[in-house]
Amino acid sequence: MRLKAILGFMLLVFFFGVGGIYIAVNNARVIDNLEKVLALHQMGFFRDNLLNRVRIMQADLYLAVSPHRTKIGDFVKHGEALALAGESCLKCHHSEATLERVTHLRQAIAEYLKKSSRVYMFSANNERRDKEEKNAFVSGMHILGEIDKLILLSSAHSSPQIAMARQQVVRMRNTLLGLVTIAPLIFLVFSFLFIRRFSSSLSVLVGATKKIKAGELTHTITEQLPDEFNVLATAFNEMAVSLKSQCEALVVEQGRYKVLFESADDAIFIVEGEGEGAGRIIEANKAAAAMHGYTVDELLALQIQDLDTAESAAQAPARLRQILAGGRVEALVEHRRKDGTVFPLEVRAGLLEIKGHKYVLAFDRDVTVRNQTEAALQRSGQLAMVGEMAAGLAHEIKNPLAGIKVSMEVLMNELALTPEDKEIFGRTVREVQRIESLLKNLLNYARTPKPVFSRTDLNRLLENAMGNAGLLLKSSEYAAANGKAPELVRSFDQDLPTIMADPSQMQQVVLNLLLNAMEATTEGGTISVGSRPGRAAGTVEVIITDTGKGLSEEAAARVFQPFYTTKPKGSGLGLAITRRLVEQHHGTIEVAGFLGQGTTFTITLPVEQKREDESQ
Amino acid sequence: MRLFFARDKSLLLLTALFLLLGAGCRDGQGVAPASKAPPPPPVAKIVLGLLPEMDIFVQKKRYEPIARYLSEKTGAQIELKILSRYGNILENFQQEELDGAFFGSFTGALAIKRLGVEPLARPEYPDGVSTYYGLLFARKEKGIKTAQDMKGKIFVFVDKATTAGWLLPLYFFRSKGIRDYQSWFKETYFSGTHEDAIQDVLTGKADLGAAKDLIFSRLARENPRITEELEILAVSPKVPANTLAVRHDLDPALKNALASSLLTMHQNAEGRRALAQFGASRFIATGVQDYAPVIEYAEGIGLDLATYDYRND
Repeated sequence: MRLKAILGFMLLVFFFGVGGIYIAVNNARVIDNLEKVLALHQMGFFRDNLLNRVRIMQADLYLAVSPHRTKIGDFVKHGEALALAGESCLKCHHSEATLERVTHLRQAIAEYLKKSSRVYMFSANNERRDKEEKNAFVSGMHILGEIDKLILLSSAHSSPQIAMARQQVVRMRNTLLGLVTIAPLIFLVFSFLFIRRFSSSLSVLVGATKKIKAGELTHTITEQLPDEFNVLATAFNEMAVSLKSQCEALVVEQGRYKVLFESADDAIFIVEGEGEGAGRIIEANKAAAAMHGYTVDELLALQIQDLDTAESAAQAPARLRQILAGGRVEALVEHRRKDGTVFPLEVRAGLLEIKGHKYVLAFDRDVTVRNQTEAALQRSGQLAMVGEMAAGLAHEIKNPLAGIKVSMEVLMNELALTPEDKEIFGRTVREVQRIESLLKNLLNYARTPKPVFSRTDLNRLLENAMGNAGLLLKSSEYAAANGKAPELVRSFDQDLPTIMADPSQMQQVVLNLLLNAMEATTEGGTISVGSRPGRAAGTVEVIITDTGKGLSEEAAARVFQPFYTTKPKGSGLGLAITRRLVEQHHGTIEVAGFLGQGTTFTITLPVEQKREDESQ
Repeated sequence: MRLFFARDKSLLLLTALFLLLGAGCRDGQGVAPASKAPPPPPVAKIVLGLLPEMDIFVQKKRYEPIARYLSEKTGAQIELKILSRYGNILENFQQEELDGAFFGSFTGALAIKRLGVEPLARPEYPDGVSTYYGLLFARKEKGIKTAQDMKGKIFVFVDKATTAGWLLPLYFFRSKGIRDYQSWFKETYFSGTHEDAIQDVLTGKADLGAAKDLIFSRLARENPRITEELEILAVSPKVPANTLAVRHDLDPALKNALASSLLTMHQNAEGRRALAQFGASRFIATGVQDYAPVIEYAEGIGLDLATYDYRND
């Protein structure tokens, strides 16, 4: 395009230059012709002037002897003017023949002037005078005749020249008119073509730009544009493709961040940091909405202070100042849900600057459960410490207690006692035995032996435990204490894989749970024992369900705590030991149940144990 | 044309506006009017008469270089005025209010006597001659030698106010015993110029004639037939060549300027160029005493210059 534009410009300059030169040359030619015409006319004027001068002289001669004789001074002037007119004729360009005629004419004029002078100076008789006057007058007439001939001759020469000059002038005028008319037309046509070519390409580019601006990123220029515009169109298409891929990448990235934003467990807020709207919630994720009981849209209509309790809201300005100063805030605050309940939050917030505007980016974590867990752990630790102390104490008590029990048995056998005293001795020995049992359980809890893992068939283990339980259920003591024995139901998954476990400890766990179920299920009912693959891969589950008296909500929450028991003579260590044994197998135990609706314990155990644990 | 006129009119209006503004500005500035400069002295005009020695057109043209030179040197405007006849110069000198004239020897003597003009200078020709003399000539083929031979012939004079063209023939006639030349000759007439007298004899219009030698020699240089076909029969005494004489009451400063300009013109290139065109080598001072030969010559034929009627018959 640039090359074509330069070429076009040079062509225009060339045409205009040639046109200008042509006009200048023709103009010069016209001027020459006009000068020629002027010269011819001037020549005519000179001839007329010459004629007039001769006629004046003739008149002077005619009046020379009359009372109206021209004064000598004027006569001399007339003669000088005639001589000058004659000289003027010689100055014109003539052909050789004409020049010869003009030369002769000048000589004739000189002769005529002499004769005229003579007439004026002459003083003689009338005859001689008449003769001289006639002689001069005839000379004058002869000159007039010569001039007429010259006029005819010149006219014959000059008329075609004038006609030709006039024709050339007319032709030049027409040519100039044509040039003056055509040149702007050519210029206009060139300009129109150039502008149309330029503007149509620009229109295509502008149209494509508008479509891109409207979001039609797939739009490309398919038209074949001329020259550099095609290069520009290609670059434009490449730009559109690049823009599209960048937009897609941006969308993907934005989606990723959106997922991160929306799938975060923590509540995330972007809050206006400055101006009159400081504190207004700009963005909030779903976790924030769920955490506070609002919808996201409802949150976006609130100020962050609206979620604070009065105490937390009082500290909010100081935290905001700290954040705006570039600091980072980590604080525990309390928020109020839509339903009015208050819950604790751990807030981590910092400054976020977007295009010079300040926002607050806050991550809020609901620490209700954590607080509860920490409290439970604290209590569990305390209980563990108490257990340790109790175990130590039990160890120290166990031997003296054994001595007491043996001594009491010896005395009871060797002394002659009344039946009442014997009953007292017997009750004392049983209480000592109960203390020993309690101490044994306490030691088991405090010093749980490390499991010895081996490949264990869980179904078989369950079958053994149920066999032992069946024997107990058939005993007279059970029937005397609980009435009708419950039915034992099996539900084993036959494809259950063998697991790495300590069989004796697992036996203890299952048996403990079966004994609890048997105690809870009186006057019939069902105790179901099942096995199945766990919900998580690589795990198995053992489910023990009874249709007994069930658990209260509080009991369900505390059932695994040491020394918590619902039984009148329970030590409160059975389920605590059970959970400890399960946890030593890296498993979990959960309880579900409601009062009067039975209880279900679910034990989840990994199929494999860690190497170091297996080696223990 | 209308456009041109409109443009012209606009130009005029603009010019007028500028002039008005300029005038306004000057008035506004309160500049005191400049003191009136003394008007420049009027350019003196000197009218000099020329005698028709030859073809009057040629005669005037011949003196024009001298007139231009004098105009430049004196600062006066020199105007040449051809006089129709020799004799008329005395009347014309007063009627035409001439300030001076290049007088011939006889007219000069007459003017000195009657008008009191003061001769200033006269030309000296390349051969060192500043005088001339009259010639009486006839065609050789006519064989005219004596007064008797002249009887019944045609005689052409120049003018009754010329030395060569009138005094010499009269002196010759008197010396040859011709008392009444008009009856002696078949016809006499006045050609008016020396040149025409010579040409008339040469062409046969007249049998005898008289003219000054200077013109005779000049024409003879151009036309050898003059010396070949004409024979000199008598010669007059030498008289001063045509001399510039001015009226006696002319501004002395101008008079001196004219005289000094003429007398020194051969000393500068411009003057020499004018002299060459005129045909002279320089001008020499001329006084009344230089006219003594003419006066004596006239008195010799019985003419009283104070009362002499110089008009041609």
